[in-house]
Amino acid sequence: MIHVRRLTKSYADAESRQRPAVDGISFDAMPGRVFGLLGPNGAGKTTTLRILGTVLKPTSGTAIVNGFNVVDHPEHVRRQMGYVSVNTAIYDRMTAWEMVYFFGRLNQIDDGLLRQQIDWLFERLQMTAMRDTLGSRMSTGMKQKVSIARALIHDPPVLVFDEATSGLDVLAARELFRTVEDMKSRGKCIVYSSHIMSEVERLCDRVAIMLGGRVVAQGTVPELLETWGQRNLEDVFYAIADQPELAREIACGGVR
Amino acid sequence: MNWTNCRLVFRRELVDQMRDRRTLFTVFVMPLLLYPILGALMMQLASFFREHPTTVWVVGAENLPDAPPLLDAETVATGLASDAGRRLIRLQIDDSATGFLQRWAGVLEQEDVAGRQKLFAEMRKRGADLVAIVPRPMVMEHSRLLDEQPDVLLVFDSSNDNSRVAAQRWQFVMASWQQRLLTRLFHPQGSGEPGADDSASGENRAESSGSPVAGLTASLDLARPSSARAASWSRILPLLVMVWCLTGAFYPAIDLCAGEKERGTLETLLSSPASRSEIAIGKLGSVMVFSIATALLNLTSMGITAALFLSSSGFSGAAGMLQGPPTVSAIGLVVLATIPASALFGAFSLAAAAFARSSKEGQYYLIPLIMVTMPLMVIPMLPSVRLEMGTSLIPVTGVMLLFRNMIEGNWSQVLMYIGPVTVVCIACCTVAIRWVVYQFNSEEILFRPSERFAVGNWIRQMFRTRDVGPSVGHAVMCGVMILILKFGSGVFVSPSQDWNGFASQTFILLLVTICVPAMFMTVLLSSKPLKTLMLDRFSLTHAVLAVLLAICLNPLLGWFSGLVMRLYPVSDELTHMAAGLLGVVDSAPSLLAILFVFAVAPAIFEELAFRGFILNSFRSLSRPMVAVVLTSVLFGAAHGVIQQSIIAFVVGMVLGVIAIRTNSLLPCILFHATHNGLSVVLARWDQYGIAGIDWLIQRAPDGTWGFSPLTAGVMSLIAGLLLAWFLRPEWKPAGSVGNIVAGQPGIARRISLWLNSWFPSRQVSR
Repeated sequence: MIHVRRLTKSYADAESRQRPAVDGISFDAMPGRVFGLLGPNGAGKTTTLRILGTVLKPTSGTAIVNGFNVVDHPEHVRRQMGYVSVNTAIYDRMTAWEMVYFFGRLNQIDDGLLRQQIDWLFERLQMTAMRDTLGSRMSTGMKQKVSIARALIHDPPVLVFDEATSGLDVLAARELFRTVEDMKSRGKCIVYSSHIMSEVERLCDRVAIMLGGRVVAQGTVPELLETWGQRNLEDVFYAIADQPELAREIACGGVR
Repeated sequence: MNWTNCRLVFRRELVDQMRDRRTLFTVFVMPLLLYPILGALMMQLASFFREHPTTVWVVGAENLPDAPPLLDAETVATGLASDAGRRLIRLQIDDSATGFLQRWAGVLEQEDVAGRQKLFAEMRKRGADLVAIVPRPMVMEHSRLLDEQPDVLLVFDSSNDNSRVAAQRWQFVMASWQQRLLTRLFHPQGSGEPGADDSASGENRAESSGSPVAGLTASLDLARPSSARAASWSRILPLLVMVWCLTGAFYPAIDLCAGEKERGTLETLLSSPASRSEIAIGKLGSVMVFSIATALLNLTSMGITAALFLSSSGFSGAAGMLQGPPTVSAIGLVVLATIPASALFGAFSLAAAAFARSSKEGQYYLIPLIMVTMPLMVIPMLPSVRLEMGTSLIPVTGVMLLFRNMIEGNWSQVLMYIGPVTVVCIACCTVAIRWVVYQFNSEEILFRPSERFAVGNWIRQMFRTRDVGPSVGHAVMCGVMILILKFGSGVFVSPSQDWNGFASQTFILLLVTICVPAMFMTVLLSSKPLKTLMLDRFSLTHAVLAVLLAICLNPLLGWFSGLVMRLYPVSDELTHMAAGLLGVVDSAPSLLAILFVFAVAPAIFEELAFRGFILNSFRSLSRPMVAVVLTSVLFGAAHGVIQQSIIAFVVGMVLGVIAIRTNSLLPCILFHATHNGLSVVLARWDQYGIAGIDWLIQRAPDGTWGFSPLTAGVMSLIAGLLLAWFLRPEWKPAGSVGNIVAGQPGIARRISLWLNSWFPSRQVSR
């Protein structure tokens, strides 16, 4: 599971002023549940997830992934986590199988076991036909599958999907949703970030809406709809975007 | 044609390129910095042009004619070579040749390989690099021109560096001597200078200058063909290996670091459980493989081509120059040399590549990398550079010299220096790898999307931060400005030869090249100049302790200077220049004048610039020790000559510690003035010293004045205690002047932050 408390990450802007990309956010993600991070581009979702993935260091606050602090034990955290992001590319000059094998070996999986696991995973993700295709010849959907296979190969308890459907067609996206649901049913703790409301509404048990680096609303989807008196998450989001001050008050008041 | 569109496109491209840091760097910054930096590097290199004297064993000196003289008492006669050249030839004179000729007749007359080695061993035992034998009395008549029997026989070993150099020098001397001989033969009454109007002598002169030493001398090369071959290849092969390894390492390194960043796969790799150092070492390994492969394939291809080319066409002359193909052992050693070379260049290239955000940017770093490593590759090619403790400690140079000695078969030398060379090599690789790891951890490098650079923003930022104080970038800028001005003044200003001119010149140069840039930047960038320069506070205790430390450190620093001078001996030219300088200083009217020029003025000006502006700008890093190190590096670099730079670095470290501890510039000025002053006074103790204090100040065996051993010991002890006090653990910069500039770090700040990462952090990041 993941505990995030008052997490802040500041960058310097072009004029050398510190600007928080993530501003004191807190949330918890539980095993067997999908936690959604919803927000427009630049809301701080990717930064938050990169901190969880130990690629960035927080300016302040804590993030604990499956019992390990991301600052103190980054290597342990990475072992507990599968990270799928629009930014994590795959090697152009490696085949799908080689790529997944490489990351499996980096996770210290024994050679024989790893080969079996790859076969199983490729079948499950319907990747068997593309096992010898080079990265440079793959379509976006194929690449995304390899990314997912890479993230799942060591069977991590925590999975992070960052804008994972961007660039995918609807069929490929549906396959991804199925994988996420499958992993949820296997008891994984999943963090799913997206700017597409319908995806989040469909997949996530609990959602945090981010705006300008802050979590402006948090709760289960029905809770959010009820609090804001809207019919769908998209309208909730518009309502929040129009009245960020009110959102903050509600968040402080504790919509739980 | 719509000219408005042309103009619009033109303006857009212009603005676009002006916002590209790489274009700005290559078009504007590079040309401005390149030549001063190259010039400064060449000046540093010049201190390695130190010619070693060679010894000639003259056998049968009594057979030489009295006039024109060939030999002086200790060296060759005046006029046969320049004064400097004559100083480099030492003589061992045996009057009679009979014994030598009897003993070595077998070697001199026939091919006796074992005998030749024995003869060379005998020469080495006597410390001689060359034997010049005059077997019988020389005939001073015209008939000697027809005589084909040589008068002087030179015996040397061309596979030995010293012996070869000795032979070259001696042949030059013989050529000038032969000119004189001929002149004397044709103008027995002449002054010794050949008459220009005499056509007969003119002809003969022409003949003789065509082959100046022919007829007069014959030479016997003791080198075995294989070792002569090894010697001729021993210089070329290490250089080739270095160049091949560098080119082989660079492009894979760029692709493996900057290229992966660009393609996004680096983030994928970094989010795997592999640690940063594991990733860096893995990448280094693969870069090394490509580097070694490049070198070996080049070697093979070059070998095959050369063999085919030379055997098929009339290029035997070229082959003769290198005395045949390299020996098998030389090739084996070259293969071995690719390992350290590829490790070094692989690590350097990775360090450059890890710094780049894209492969295009990475390729721009090839030029600076070559600029840094080329001089290191050139040093071993200089004729007088040998494998010594000093040279073995220089990265790249040490490796090249080590392998040169291996190829030449000087295994005793190799065994002596393989340790230091390996240690330096490993240390360089470790530093480079740590840098790569740091870059992998550096978010600015990994995720900064924009490479745009706006001059306007930069200038605005410079003035906006004015109220709080200068930053790391400003410190480096000031340092570079001082270096360029110092270099420029070194080139364009020749030292005056009388004291008044010299003193005012030194004073003005210190003021203009060091003090003015720092003052200018202080006024421009700081709203509280006095505070920035630490002139706003003063403590008497600190002042007294600083003076005491300067006095007590004198013996230790003197010993250290001696050590540096032994490791990296000063070139003859510099010694000569220094001697000229001493002559000027001797004509100073009083000790006070000398102290003012050499102690007071440098202390004030250099402290204002280095411990004042630069150190305090570096203090924006909030790690005082790193600020001290960086300031001392610049302080050392500003001293121009490598030996002085090393010593100045150490003195700069002490000064930096004092500055940080006391937060005041005055103790630094006092320390600096006392340190310089004491050196000046001790150097002229003969002239200005106080008699009757032998217990305190004595003359050392080498003629210099210094503190007596007992006093020096006590002083060093006190110095240690004082330093410990200045360095005491709870030291905390009492209200650092510099601000912690929040901003996108520039190159300088990134390097300093990386250095920071070597010291345990006191701040808790969460």
